[in-house]
Amino acid sequence: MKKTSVRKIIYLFLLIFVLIFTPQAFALPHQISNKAIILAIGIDKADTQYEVSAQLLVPKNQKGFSENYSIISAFGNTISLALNKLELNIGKQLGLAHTNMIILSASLDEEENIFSIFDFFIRDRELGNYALIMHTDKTAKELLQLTTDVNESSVNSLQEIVILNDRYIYGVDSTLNNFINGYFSPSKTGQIADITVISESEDSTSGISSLSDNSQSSGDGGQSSGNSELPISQSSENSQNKRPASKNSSNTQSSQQASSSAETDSSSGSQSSQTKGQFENDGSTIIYKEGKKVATFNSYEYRGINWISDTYAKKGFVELYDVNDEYLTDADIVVNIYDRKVNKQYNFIEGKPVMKCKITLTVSLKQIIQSSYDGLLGTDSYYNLSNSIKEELRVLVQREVQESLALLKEYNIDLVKVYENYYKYKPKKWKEYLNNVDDDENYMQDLLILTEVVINEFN
Amino acid sequence: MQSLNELKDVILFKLSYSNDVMTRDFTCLNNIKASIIWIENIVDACKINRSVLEPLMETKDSIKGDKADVINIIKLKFEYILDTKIETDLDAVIKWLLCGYCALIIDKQKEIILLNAQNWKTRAISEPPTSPVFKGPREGFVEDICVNLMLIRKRLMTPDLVVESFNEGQYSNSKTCLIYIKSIASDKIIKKVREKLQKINIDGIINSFYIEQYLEDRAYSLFKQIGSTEKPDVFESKLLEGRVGILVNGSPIALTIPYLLLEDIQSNNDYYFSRGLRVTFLRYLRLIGALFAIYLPGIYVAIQIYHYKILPLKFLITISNSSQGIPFTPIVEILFVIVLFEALYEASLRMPRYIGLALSVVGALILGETAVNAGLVSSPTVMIVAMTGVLLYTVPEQESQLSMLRIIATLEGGIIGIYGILLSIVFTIIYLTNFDSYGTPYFAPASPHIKKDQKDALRRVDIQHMITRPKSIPNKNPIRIKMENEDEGTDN
Amino acid sequence: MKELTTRQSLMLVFLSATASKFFMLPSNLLSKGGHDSVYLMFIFFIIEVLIIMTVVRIATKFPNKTINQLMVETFGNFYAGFINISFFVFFMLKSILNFSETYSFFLGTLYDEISPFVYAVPLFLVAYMAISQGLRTIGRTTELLFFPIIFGLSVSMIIGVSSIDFSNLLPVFADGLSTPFEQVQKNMLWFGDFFVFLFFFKNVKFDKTYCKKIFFTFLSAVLVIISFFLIFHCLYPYSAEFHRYAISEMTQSTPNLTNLGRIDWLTIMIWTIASIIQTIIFMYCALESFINFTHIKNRRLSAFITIIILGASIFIFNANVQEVSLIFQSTLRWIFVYLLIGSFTLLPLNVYFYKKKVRKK
Repeated sequence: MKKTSVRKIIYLFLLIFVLIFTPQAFALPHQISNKAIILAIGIDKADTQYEVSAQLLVPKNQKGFSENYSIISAFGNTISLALNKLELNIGKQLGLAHTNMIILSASLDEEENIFSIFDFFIRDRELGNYALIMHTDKTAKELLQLTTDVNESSVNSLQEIVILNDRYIYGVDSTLNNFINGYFSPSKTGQIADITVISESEDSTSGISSLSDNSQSSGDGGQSSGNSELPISQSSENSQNKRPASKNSSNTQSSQQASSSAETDSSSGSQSSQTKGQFENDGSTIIYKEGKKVATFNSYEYRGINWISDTYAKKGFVELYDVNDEYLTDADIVVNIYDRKVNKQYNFIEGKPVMKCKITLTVSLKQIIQSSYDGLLGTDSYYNLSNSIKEELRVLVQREVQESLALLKEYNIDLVKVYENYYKYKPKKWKEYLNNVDDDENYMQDLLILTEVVINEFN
Repeated sequence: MQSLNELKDVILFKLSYSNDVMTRDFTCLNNIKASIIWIENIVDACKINRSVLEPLMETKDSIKGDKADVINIIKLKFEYILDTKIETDLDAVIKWLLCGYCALIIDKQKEIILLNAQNWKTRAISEPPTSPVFKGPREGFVEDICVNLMLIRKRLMTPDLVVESFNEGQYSNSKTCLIYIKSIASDKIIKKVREKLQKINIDGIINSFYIEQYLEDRAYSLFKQIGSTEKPDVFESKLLEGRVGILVNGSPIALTIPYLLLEDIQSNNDYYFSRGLRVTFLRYLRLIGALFAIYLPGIYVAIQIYHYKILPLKFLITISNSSQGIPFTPIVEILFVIVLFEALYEASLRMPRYIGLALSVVGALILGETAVNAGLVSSPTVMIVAMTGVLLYTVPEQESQLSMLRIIATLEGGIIGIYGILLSIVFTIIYLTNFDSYGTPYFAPASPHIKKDQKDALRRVDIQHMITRPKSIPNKNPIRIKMENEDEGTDN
Repeated sequence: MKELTTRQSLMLVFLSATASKFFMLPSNLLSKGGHDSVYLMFIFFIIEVLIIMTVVRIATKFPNKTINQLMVETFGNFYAGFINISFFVFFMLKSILNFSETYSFFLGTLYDEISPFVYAVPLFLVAYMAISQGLRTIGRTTELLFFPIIFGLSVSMIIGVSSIDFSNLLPVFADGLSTPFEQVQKNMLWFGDFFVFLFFFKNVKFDKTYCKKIFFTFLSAVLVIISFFLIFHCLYPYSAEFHRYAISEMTQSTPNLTNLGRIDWLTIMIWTIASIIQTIIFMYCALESFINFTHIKNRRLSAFITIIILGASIFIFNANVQEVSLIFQSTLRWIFVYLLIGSFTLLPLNVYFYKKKVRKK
């Protein structure tokens, strides 16, 4: 076979390839025109049927930048069937590449295993690992509708609030990847941020604008943009029981909130029904074990866990009440946390696991509230943290850790990765301990956590 | 022996009795009949009068005797003319007549005296429009090879500068000069180029591009293998690096061999006023600009058709909003805009200057504003194509190649997506790595990597440190500058 | 003049060793074997490197002989032919695996659908061009694309590193060696990429420090691979099974990128060029083996036939990486073992007998 024959065959092949595929390429439309771009998915359950709602991007040829969304939903026996119906209803393939929120409603709290819902999403090629998951007390569809309105006004977005959540001392990393890692870890736990929806028919003084009688602090709330300086406010709901879903009482009376309102006048170009209501992120976290919901922790309870966790949660305010010293009389102090570092040692004492945690906090004094500032202004205590404040803070942290540990033992959930860390650092002894324990699923019962708190002042 | 009139007739016959062939019969040196032939418009008539006719006709000398050496005696009269020749071959006489010489035929003499009276009219030396400089020499080559040689000679005043002349073209007889510095240029390259020039068989050379095609190994390829320049300073610098140059009469474009792709990324501005760091930045910018110019439309089309996931949300919203109502598919839309831009470019090259402004406004309005408002094309598409159109000119020498590659990459992006673009990158590089311009790898000094040449590749060190010549170009003398203590210089 | 410069040979070896490791292998290995399989893999790599260093040493002793010439002159045509057939089959399998993996990668990440025909034909064309031109073309192409490729890989790894928990690397071999060992040996055919160096005999300009340079290149390739695997494990300690295409999953490690889209894919795509180059180099090795045992002098024709054989094989395997990897994990993995032990231990013997023959003459 001559050289030129081989070359000719190759050129011929190439020509055929180009002739066949080029005209086809000329006819290919935008992928976007065949895809329904989904930004958020909400899942509800009624009886045996799942209702899947999707926030859909609706392209419109307009001058300037504009986002147009609509909500569409479908029912099905499984998530995949419901989404399939959604596709048929929309008439386009679902494009989940930009889906960054999955909202689960309270109707799914009785699910045997919540992972059965996530199983669809983690198999999907397009959906990102770091899609945010959140839980809501109302229907997911309602929350989606609120989010749509908020998005249109570009003031705030639920997504931004939840992304920032994991940086706060009460917050949780509420992503799909984190949940899956937790589900398959030895502790088999997962956590999801809880977002409350307050509709207009309920107490309208809740959330941003209301200040309860017991309120001892105020904040501007409302149109905050979810940045690091969170307002302090007290919801009317919270004013009645100091910590919702809490089994422990505490001196602290205020809760930290970030909230957005979706007043209809604040949105522009809204195309859906004018939903009135608010959503609140009060720091609640839903805890799952082996895919089943076992508890709801409020912001304080979860904060107790975060003091000793290895996550990035470190920002936020801490309130101290009735602090007394040379210059302070029954003062309420607000301290801002800049940084948190934890050093942990995993030991065994008399065959029982003892975790020693050294917590180093970098804080600064944010606010002093007391009836009179005479004698306070101009002193060191006004600007800097006094020893009594530091001591109060130490006590608070230690107490919160112990209280949260008690809760973990009560529910038998391992949110501080005891199993994993003991297995990493002391594998042999840990295996021995598990062999010796009556029920190796109940390994948390003998756990002791000893905390040492070091307070540094941020200058 | 032919008589004067017979010779004259033969010459006029060979010149096809053209109306611009002039003759003048006269008697000189008492009794000798002579005739002078010249071609009007290419000779200096005053010079003929002053330097040829006057000395002959006004002399009081006479020639006596049949055996007198008439030709040489007459030749001595032309002491004011530098270049005189004596020919017996009529074809050679014709050739010199066509070169601006005048022929002096003496009765009963077979030799014909040829006298240089050239008076080519040429345009003034000016800055070439394709190679403007911010701060630097503004002289450019012109069509007259003599002027061009003058420009080179005044810059390279060295006895090592060699000019070899050839006449190419059966009808045009264009003077072609091979120029090199004999102590620097590689003998192998000189020999190869000389052989190729001698083998050229063509009816006429209109431009140096014709010669270029003969000198290239793969003349059919999209990519050039021979460098070119319109500036004598650039030509000089290339000769100093070890290249050989070619000038062609009738063309202001000088050719240089061998060629590296890197040459087009460098600019003469890089050496005239910018600092090394700035030049490095600019060279990288040109390279990245060229890559963007080729692949950006293809990537954009691929993303629209296959890979919407890559887009950030806000950009996705913009594109999806703007593509509503567009009647074309993405690839048709972008090719439409590219073709429009190419047509606009082509028209702007050819249009008369007095309607240039009007057409520019129309083009901008049609393409920019009206087409988008009419919903024929989307604004991101126009923006992308316009941007790449500008980026093409970061490497203006490669503009035509980049433009074609852009269209090919767009088609590939549309047919196969980003995978196709990746393959096209690999394919192009594989194709070009096979190019050797007279033994010099196309991508040198990047591949094969030549460490010493990196000082003036994409980065540029200061002139003081450019002590050696680039190793990429074969040369006989690698050291540019001899140090005072006569050691070999060291490079950074 | 040698086909490859030292620099080009080092880059080729680095890329051919690393390119195919970052697609499905991390998920395959880590999902069942855990991080202990990575440590075990590291040990196997070191053994492989040591074996390769002996080969390099032998190559520097015979700078003007190809591996085939060495075998023919020592043991004769039959033995050499047998080894060449083995290499041909090995590199064909590697090419098929590489092809299937990258096809699945593109299908799984970037494309909704892409026909294997549309995927294969342009790749074959590019490969044909490269292998028919020879090692010089491949070397120069690699040299030009090397730094952008490394940039693409570095971006992926750096984005991943920012949010990992290094304690996930513990404990070390706490659960015994049997499961990790089983996983490593099941995935044997993903290894052995260093073998390409055998085909650089005679083609590389060996200088005095070549052995040192190649050793550090091998070592750095191993370290990059191990680092990648460990970073991947730290990111997804319990869910590696769900992250099939590691290189694309690495860059999803921060939620801040959600609003930026998947711009990181552009850097991943630059990295995939390494896989294309690796396919080319494997096919070059297959071509050389083919020419050695068939003695067809027309290189273009041989290249064409090699491409056709590869296309037919891919068609037989249906281009399905799951099927391919299952087959490779079962019977075909022993081919690697045979080649690793058989060819390399025989190579020093080869040299010994060759020298003896020369002395006799």
